[in-house]
Amino acid sequence: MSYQQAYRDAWKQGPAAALAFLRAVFHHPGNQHVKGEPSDYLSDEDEDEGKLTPAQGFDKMQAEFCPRQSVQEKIEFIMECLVERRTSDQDQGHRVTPFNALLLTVGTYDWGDATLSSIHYNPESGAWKLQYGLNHELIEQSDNYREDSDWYTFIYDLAHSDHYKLCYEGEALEGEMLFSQIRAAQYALYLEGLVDVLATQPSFADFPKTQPLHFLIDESEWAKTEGTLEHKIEWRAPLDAASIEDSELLQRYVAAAVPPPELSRDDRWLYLLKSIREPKSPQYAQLIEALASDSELMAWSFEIAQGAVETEKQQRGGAPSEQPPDAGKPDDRKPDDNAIAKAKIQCSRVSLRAWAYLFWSIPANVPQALTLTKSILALPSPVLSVVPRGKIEERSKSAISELFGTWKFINDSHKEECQEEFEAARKRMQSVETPVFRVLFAEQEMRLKHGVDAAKPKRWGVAYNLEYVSNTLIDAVVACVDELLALPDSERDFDFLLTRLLGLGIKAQTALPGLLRCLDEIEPGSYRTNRLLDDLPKVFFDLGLNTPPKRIREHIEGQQYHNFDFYKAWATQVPKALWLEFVQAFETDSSGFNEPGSWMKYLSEGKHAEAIFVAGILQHKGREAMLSALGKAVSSPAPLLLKELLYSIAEHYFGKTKTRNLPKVVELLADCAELDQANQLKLRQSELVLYRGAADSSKLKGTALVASLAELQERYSDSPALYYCRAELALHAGGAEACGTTTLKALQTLSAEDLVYRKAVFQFAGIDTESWNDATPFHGYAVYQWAATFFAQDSYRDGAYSDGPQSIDRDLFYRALENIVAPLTNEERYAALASLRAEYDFGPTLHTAQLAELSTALTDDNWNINYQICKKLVAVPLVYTDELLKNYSQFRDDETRRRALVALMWPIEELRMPLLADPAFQGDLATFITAYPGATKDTCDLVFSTLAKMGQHEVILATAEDLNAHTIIASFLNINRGIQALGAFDRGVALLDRILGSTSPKKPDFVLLTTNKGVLQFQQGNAAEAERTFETLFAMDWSRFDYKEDDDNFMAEILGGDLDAQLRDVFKQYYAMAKYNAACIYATRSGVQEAVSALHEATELYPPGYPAKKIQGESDFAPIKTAPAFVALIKSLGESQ
Amino acid sequence: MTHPLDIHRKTPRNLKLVHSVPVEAGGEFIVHEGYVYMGSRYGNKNTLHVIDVHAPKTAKLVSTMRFKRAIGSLAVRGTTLYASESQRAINLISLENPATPDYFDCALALGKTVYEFGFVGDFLVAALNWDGIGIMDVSVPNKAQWVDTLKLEEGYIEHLAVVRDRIFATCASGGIAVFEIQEAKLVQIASPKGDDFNASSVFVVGEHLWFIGTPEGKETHIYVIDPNKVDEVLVSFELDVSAPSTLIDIADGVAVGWNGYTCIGYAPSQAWARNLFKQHETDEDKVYVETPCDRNALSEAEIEEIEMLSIMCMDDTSCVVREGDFILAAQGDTLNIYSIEEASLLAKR
Repeated sequence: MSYQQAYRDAWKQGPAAALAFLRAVFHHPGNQHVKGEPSDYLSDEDEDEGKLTPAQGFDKMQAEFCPRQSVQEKIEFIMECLVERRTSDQDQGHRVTPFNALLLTVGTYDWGDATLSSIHYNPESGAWKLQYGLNHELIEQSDNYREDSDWYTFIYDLAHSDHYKLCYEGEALEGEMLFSQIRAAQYALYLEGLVDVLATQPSFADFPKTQPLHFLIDESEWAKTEGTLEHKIEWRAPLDAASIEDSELLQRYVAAAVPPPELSRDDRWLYLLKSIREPKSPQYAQLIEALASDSELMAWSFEIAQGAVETEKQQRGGAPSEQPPDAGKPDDRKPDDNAIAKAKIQCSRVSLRAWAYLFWSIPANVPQALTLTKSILALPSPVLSVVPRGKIEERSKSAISELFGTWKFINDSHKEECQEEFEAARKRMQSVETPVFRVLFAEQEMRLKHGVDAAKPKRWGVAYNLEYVSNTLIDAVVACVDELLALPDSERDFDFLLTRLLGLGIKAQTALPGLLRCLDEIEPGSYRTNRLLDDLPKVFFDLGLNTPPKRIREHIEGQQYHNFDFYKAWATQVPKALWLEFVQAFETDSSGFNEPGSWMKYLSEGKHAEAIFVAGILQHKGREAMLSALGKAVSSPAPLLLKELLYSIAEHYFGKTKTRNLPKVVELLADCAELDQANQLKLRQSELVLYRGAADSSKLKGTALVASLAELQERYSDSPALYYCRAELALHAGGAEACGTTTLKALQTLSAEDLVYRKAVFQFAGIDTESWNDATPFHGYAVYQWAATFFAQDSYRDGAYSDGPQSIDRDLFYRALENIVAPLTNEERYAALASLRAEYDFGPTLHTAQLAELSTALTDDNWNINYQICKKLVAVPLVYTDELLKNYSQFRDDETRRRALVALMWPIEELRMPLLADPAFQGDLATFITAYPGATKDTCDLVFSTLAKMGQHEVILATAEDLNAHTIIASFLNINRGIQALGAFDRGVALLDRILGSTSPKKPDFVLLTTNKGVLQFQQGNAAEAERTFETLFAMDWSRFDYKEDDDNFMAEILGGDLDAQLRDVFKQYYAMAKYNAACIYATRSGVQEAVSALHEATELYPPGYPAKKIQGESDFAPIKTAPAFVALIKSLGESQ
Repeated sequence: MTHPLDIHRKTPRNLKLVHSVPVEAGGEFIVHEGYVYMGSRYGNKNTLHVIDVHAPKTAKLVSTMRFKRAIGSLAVRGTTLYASESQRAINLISLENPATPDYFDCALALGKTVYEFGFVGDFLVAALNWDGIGIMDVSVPNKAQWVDTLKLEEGYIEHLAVVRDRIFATCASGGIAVFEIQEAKLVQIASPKGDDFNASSVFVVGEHLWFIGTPEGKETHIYVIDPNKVDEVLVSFELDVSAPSTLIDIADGVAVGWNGYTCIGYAPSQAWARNLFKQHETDEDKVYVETPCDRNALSEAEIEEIEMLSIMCMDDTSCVVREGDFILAAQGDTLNIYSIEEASLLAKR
């Protein structure tokens, strides 16, 4: 049974049954797929925006439906529309096409609102028309959600995207249709109650309506242009005599249902004539019947039609007919000319073809139909030169439609009689020169010859079947372009032309010169300019122009966001080719940068072009050689173009926060002649960061470091950062006093022109006289230490400078005074100075005392002193292990200090085991692993492998229990060893359950974790549970990972690869592992078929992981080893490998 | 500068632009001994302009002092100008010779945002935003130093007014607060409007204080308070015009304020507030054009004239001071000097 049939059948049981049917479709397990890319949900922030599944969305639609108005208020509204808007015209209509149905029409835009209409309905034909004034929105947007409307995405995706692909018994279902059907069933259910109350309202009982009164629902909006009759559902029994026989309002219903008296013949004719443009309406059928049975009415109608032809003829500029139809006839010849006069006015805008259709629809009336048709075909072509410009399209369309429409309606058996007139009329029209008319006429000719699809009208413009496009049409469109250039601004002409150009695409190539001229000649800022720049890019692209014209490029690339999806491919097409050409040339002659080529010209013509070259150079296997050649080319005065290329590459390496590529920046810019100011700054900041890195990592030491700093100071004498570096160097080389002296000098220089700065130094460092004469090295040392603290807190992460190059060149002394010292209260500042004083005073001892002496100088509370001592003690770690560990215990409560001490000890291999054996450190292990500089996985693996060597499996598991999901996933292999060694499968399962709870079930990691959980459950001896774990995993929607790359992945290659493809591959690997492990369980439980099928999937998904040899060696497959399916699988694997 | 609308005017004009002094950066200013000292709280020009306004019609820029950060609030006591420098200090500038100010000292305010100033005896009182309110002993100018600061439990202070020895502050997220200085310590003595409205600014008008505030879910009000009876709101008047960003006390409980380029009259005790006029200038020759806010007050010829003129709004008004028969107004980066026309509300005293 087809879906529609099943759906209609469900409706026979009422709206509740229809809704239940739809619920079953939406809840079907096979329908729960949600479209997506592998990289969706990659960021944790995306989590909340996860798409609802069809089942969730369906339930949400039900739960959120909550009409804001009460039923009583809705009824009052309905009656207001009927009663208060009732007119005598409507009453007249009721006498011919009586009100006998209420129709609810469901819309599919937004949330799916619904309109209730009072109508006349013919149950036999299904035809209907509005009757009386009810045609209003009964259920609106806000009735469809309670407070929270953020799940609208589901509705939108269901109705207007391909995110959900639902099926019914293999039949694909359209989302918009389903959306509409849900709403229809839902609303009908709501209306049941409303109609019950409505029926008890005296005002409704009194309102004119015939019985039976039908209740209809129309959810056909999704079907758009299709006929609507077959989609109408009579969702409840009609209101008729039987259903109201017990009602208190029976008499009133009966009175209101009395058929109204018939209209007079003439009034009825007038009323029916209103339907002349609605041949499917119930009125139209009555009109035909009336004319066929009343020759006088027919004559009147014919007279009006002929009059209309005459009027049209005069409008087109033709001479009046020699004898107008009613000329010379005495007025008294018409018994009721009043009705004719009324009808003439009423039908003044009726098209001639509508009249022709009417007459051809009355079989006995062929002579009149023929006469009328021939007079229409004989009409002259319109004289458009006198028509106002804005009306040309409309008038042209009208004249063409009258001709071809009338021709279409002629009965086939009489077409031959009119052929000659028709051909003559076409010929006349062919000679019209107005380009818009010519385009429209050519389109109509195409339709006549090849059917309507040859030039199918769309909401905006027309869709051509290019196979049938005629040269006449193309010429006419090109003529439009030329005409457009010559004429003043006209929005309508422009839209007309654009839609045609877009429709013709490459076929309109002859329009290119005109369009390019258009682009050159337009004045900036005008309406037409904006339209051209917004709309012409696509036309040019479709016309096959191989590169965007400059003005278009400037327009598009000047916008931060634009929706020209095609632009990137278009703009890069030529540069891509030129890049490849350049590479080829470079490979034969590496001085390529000095050789001007066509590629150079393109570089200056847009950022996409330059981006191609920058990305191309950076990704090229011969990158170093290219960069070196480029560097050489710009080391002497070079073309700006080359410099800009170099600057762009430098910019790429410079980055905002990362520093690892700064050596490249220095390499590129250092030798460049005449750097601009921005790049001078880049070079300076890069060099300062590199110095910082060299000093911190001890890559440069001693005299080399001094020399490097001196060299920088010579070039950047005004750099505030270098003053700090000098004080730092002084501390390491000469101790606290030297550092203080150097800092003091720096402060005098830096604050020379700044009273506030000076005052801050004096007041904060405690120089009460506010005179440099009274400043001592200690004061300088204090300011230096504050600066060092500020620098470490503000710019360092994981022991390395992390603030990006733009923040390097700051006056750290001033920053520290502002940020570290100013917020302190006086008391806090005094205490800080006292601590620094003790540290300062200890300085000489630190420099001169032996380690043994120092080890006894460790204090109970002075962190700075102890830290300085520990830095010395780690030189002989095994001797001073106890002191170091004791000091660690002493300061471990302060996270910053704990990290500083671990940073001293952990890198020393001899200290690792003692540290790991220390109970205090064991308690801090989880935070140590995640916070220690470098890759967490590496630290974790090192910790766990060392602990494993020490036999500390319990510590491994206890630590793992405190780690986050990312770390556990990364180091699960090591953690699993601990689980296996302890046989603690239950704790392993609990651990995995915890992290599964915080892992998105949409990420590949979820598969990996679940697989491990299943395996541990199996090891636990809980095979049934394990099988359920796998089954649940496999039942989830992983369709996002069925990802296929674009054929053209050029950009992806040079811009860093395809992330979705990478994630898909990871997923496949994990999913294959899940299938393989599930196969192991099936082999021991469910049987051969399931096991082989799962194995087959594993080998398909990730062939390198599951060769025949591995499978044959797997002990879990022993029970099925001889099964033919298993043997066949192994054989096929063996063959393919 | 012929006023383009002079010919047709039906309504009296309020101001006549007599002179403009363009400066690098306009902003709050004070007038002392015939000189305007003008800072600029926003932007990065960091200037303090000195403008000689002895002869308003020929006023001229005398000098510009430069600082590291923006100069916001200004106040003069004796011959010392106190100028707050954003996040750094309150600078002390000697005005012994008003034409050539001498920057001689500073009181540190590193990391602090200093808003409005006032003086209570020998103390400078400063609104310190999230740091609350602070007092500085300025009895000996070159030994100025902070002696106390008081943070609010919640809210921040941007505006304050001093009446006699009391400090009335707006606490942006919690009504208003009243402080006194007792033995060189700040003491909060009242918080009369705890939760009813969020005060955004305060002005002294005659004997009263006007707090501008917005009660939860309502329009902005002017609350008139007697500084001696802070628990009682004398008048609470809902505004249907914009609140003033700067205000001039006229007389009898009437004040005239500016918001952007619109001049507004306020008389909350009479439940009256009205947009008076808007300030424009012609597009090309920069002639001052004043248009009444009440279009009904315009003749048809005036309306036609205005519509034909190509006029632009004057730049936002950040500070206005009345000096004799003149109005000095910082509008954008210009000090505009207007003479007050006789029929104007501004001429009332």
